[in-house]
Amino acid sequence: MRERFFLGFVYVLLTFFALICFIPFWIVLINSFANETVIQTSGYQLFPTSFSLDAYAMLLSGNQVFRSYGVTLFVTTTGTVLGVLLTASFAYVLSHPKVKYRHVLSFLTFFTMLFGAGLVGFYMLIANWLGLKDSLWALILPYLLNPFYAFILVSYYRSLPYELNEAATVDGANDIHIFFRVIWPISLPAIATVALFYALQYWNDWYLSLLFIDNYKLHPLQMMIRQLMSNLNAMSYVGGSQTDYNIMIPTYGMQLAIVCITIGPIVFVYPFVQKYFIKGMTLGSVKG
Amino acid sequence: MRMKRWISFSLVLLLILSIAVGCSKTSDEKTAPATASESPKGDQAAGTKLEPVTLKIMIPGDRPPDMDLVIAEAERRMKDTINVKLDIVFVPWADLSQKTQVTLASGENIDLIFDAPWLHINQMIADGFYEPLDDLLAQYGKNVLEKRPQQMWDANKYNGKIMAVPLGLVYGTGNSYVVRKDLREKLGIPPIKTNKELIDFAYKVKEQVPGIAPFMAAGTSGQQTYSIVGQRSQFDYDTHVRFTHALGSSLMLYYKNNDGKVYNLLEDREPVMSWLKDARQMYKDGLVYKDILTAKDFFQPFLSGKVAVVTKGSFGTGLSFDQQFKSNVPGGDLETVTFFDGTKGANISNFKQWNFLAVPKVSKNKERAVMFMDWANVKENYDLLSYGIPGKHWEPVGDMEYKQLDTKGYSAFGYVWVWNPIDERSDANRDKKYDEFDAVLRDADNFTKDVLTGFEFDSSAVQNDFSQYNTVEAKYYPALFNGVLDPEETLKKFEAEAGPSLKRIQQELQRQIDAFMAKK
Amino acid sequence: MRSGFIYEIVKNRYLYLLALPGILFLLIFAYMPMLGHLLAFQNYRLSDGLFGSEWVGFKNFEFFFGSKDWLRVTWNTVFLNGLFLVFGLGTAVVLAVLLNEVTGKWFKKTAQSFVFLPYFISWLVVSMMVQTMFSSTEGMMNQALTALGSEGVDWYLTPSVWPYILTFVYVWKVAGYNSIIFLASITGISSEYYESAKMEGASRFQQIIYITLPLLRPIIIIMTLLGIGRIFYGDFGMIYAIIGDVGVLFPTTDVIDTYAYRALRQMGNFSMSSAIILYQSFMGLIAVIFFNWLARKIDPDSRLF
Repeated sequence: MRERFFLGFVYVLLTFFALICFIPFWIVLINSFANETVIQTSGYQLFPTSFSLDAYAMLLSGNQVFRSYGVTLFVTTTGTVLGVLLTASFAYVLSHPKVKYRHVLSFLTFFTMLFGAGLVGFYMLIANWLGLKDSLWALILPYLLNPFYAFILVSYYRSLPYELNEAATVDGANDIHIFFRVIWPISLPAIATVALFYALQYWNDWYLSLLFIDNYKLHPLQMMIRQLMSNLNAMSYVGGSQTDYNIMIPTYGMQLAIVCITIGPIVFVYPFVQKYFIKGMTLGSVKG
Repeated sequence: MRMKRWISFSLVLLLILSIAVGCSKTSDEKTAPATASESPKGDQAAGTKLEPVTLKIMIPGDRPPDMDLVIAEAERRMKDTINVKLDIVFVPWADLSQKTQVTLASGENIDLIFDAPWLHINQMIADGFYEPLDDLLAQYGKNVLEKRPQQMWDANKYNGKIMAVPLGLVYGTGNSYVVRKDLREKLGIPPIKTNKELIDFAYKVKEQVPGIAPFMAAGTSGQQTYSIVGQRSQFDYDTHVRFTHALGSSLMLYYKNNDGKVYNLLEDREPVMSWLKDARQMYKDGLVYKDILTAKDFFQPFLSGKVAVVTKGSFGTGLSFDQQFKSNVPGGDLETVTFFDGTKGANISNFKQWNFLAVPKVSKNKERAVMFMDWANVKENYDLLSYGIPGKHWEPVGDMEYKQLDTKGYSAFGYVWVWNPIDERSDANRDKKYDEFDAVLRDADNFTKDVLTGFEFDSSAVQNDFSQYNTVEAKYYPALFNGVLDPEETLKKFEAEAGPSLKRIQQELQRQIDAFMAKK
Repeated sequence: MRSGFIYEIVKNRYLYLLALPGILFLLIFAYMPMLGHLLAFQNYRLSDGLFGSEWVGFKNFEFFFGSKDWLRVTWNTVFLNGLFLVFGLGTAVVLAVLLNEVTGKWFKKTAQSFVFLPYFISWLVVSMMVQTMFSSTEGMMNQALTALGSEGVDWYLTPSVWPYILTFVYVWKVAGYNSIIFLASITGISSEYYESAKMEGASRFQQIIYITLPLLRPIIIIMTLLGIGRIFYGDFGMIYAIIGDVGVLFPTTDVIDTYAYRALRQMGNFSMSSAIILYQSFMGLIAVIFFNWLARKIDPDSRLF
């Protein structure tokens, strides 16, 4: 009886929180299809009262969208795969009790999180020394190792029983083998999480392309959107101007439509990641 | 085992990919400077055929979908003369400062770049990033020089040299209040002519039209020109209160009349103080839209029919403004009210322009960049770059007007790279009511010359004071200049927190002005 | 010298080989550009470059420490981030634990997806929603208050409530995202623990208290330490979008980042903004060294470095 009550409590609490999270998103979704006039005069609606695709039409006009989507997809997949490989193996070393310098390395890794790079130095490094201006690698390389994600993995690896490792060592496998054959499969829940985070990081970034990509054909989606949006309020920057765009721009609707468009990765990636949490890749299942 | 094979497979794949992409990129990189270095010697005349050169031009905005069409047409037209290819980089307005700064700092090859006093042109010139243009313009830029009147050139030099080409049409700004005409007529009020009538109208709205706030102005710090008091100062023909070179659109320091003195609001309060008190009274009486400080777009409450009067930085409203308003407020009607005095000499101007196009020192194609500017200031080319392909994006209506056909494909953004007062056309569909006033703004001879014309302020000596002052100003200014806070009390707090900084900025500005006046 | 550096490298050569890409990355992309922080001590002129500019000692720090506000904004930053850290992590842990208890597959999947959604709503849109909630004229809060018979509040003129509003918004936005980290850790807990607990008759609630939470402790500590390292960095994107230019609210919501932004926005002075970043990093370093030492005392396995 008490167990039932407890479970019921869990359901109620979760439903409540899920609704708090869902309703604002619902509002965004519904109103991204609303008529600009309706948003302007009566604010966000909870239920659709009008329908218009203006915001999406404005956002998705032209070839640039498809090019940008392609760039974003390439950067996101390449970046995520490379980032996860790099981070997972690096974090493994940080967590390995055999490594004498693991604490020094951990500190040096954490230190970069505290003292970020200065803008000028960073720009010169990528653009002048590495010569990555207008190269898609400028969008991928700088984010390959996020210390934050590395430490999530470190903590996960530390929770694994050390016997696993020793058993494999006795078999004569070297550490690289052990990592990929033993540790990697049982760490999949954590690695999937980190992969998701990397994917989001690459997907949402516009900053690197702002700095390093001048060739508009290589602009990722977020950069394209940023350019479009910031042009809408260009008039506030230019004084004494008598020009007039003469078109009614669905600014409010567009901001909402952007949210819906950029939510893309979760639609594709999240179910894949979720699998790992629900199935529960526990140690037992690997051993057995 | 499967996992391992998968990993090694993807590693190999990535390696191949990276080599492929990496190589294709670097090879591109190398070809660009190669063509650039083949730039011709300066003694070649613009009429003869030159080697092709690609100019990299960095301007703010969003790339129009048909930009490539316009570029192709422009390159076709230039092929037999100056033979320039265009690589135009658009930078989002919001990131303009950062992007242009790092680009210049890293010494990348840019041939033409947008800059402005409100951005960082003074700093960039002081740091020696831009090429002085006097000689180059004299040699290759006849059209550039001729299309701008002498006053404009004189007033926009730096240390006596032309450091960038001014892009502008006017020498003063038009300002107005947008008023709900339908409400005014409903209340039986005749057309508004004075500030007092405007306020009376606001009180009437407050009394008789429930649900509509009478008055709205700009409440964010970036737009304080259009705050209640800021806007009022624009129509001050008694004392000519004006913004200073030091504080941009803040009236904490101001010029008065034409006496070359800097006034400090904390010490010389009139006339600004009485305006602040009036604004405070309006706010206390409930005339001001309550969320004035939080509204991100201050037109929005007016456009959605919640407000009866709003400040605006032009004489008319513009078509899209009207369109939005009418579709949001069926049966609504609007008009603009201005207290602008168009008589000759009534307005003071220092002829300073807002936007500029500069040639960076690092450019390897300076001659060609100036030749391109010269080419762009020929009427038909100006039309092409400003409005797009004739017949597709626009069509001419006489010599001075145009009709837009396809604004989605190519929208007018001449103000970032070509604007000049002679070639610029007006939209044939505009509200022609204020043409007379607009013509006043466009004719330099209508203005009284500011004694500080040509003066530039160098803030490097008071940087700490600036930064400290800025944070205090952001805290109080928008609320103070829209009547949300009590002026007496707030100015006291202001004085306690930023008084000394403000004083030092004032003294430094005055010192530099005195030096400037003495030299004249 | 069996314990020497070379010996260690050779002995664990495979492990160090595994870490090599990461080490190279940090050297090139993190440590090299860190030289840029030098310009905090320079009168940096773009044309003179990093090594040619004039050295000015601590002059670039003066504008910040010479103001009356530096203590207040530093306090605001730490206080707000403290609230974010405690409630953000707390909610995420609770969320993860609750999600783990749920047995219905469909419900679990849906709830998990829903709590992740706010992460995607841009701060700009969030700020507009906050406005619809709290604006004086048409805000939902005030409409509700007047409907209940009490008077409306001018929220945007009441600074004291904003740290809590911001905390709520922050928790709402990131709790779902962070809960994934904890969920992954819970999934990694061996089911044997729970099975033996069940045999001994432990209730679900007891299992949470005695198994799940203790096993989550290391990751919770690490997440806290990571948060503490950045506790002097204000969330600029969020606070600038939601508070913006509403000066009345600055006494409680102005953080170092927004303060520096306003102080320097018209000047484009790299040196002065670098000085601020250096101050934030340095304070974060001190804080994290202290807390890492504390963590080592409590649980040697959970330390960050």
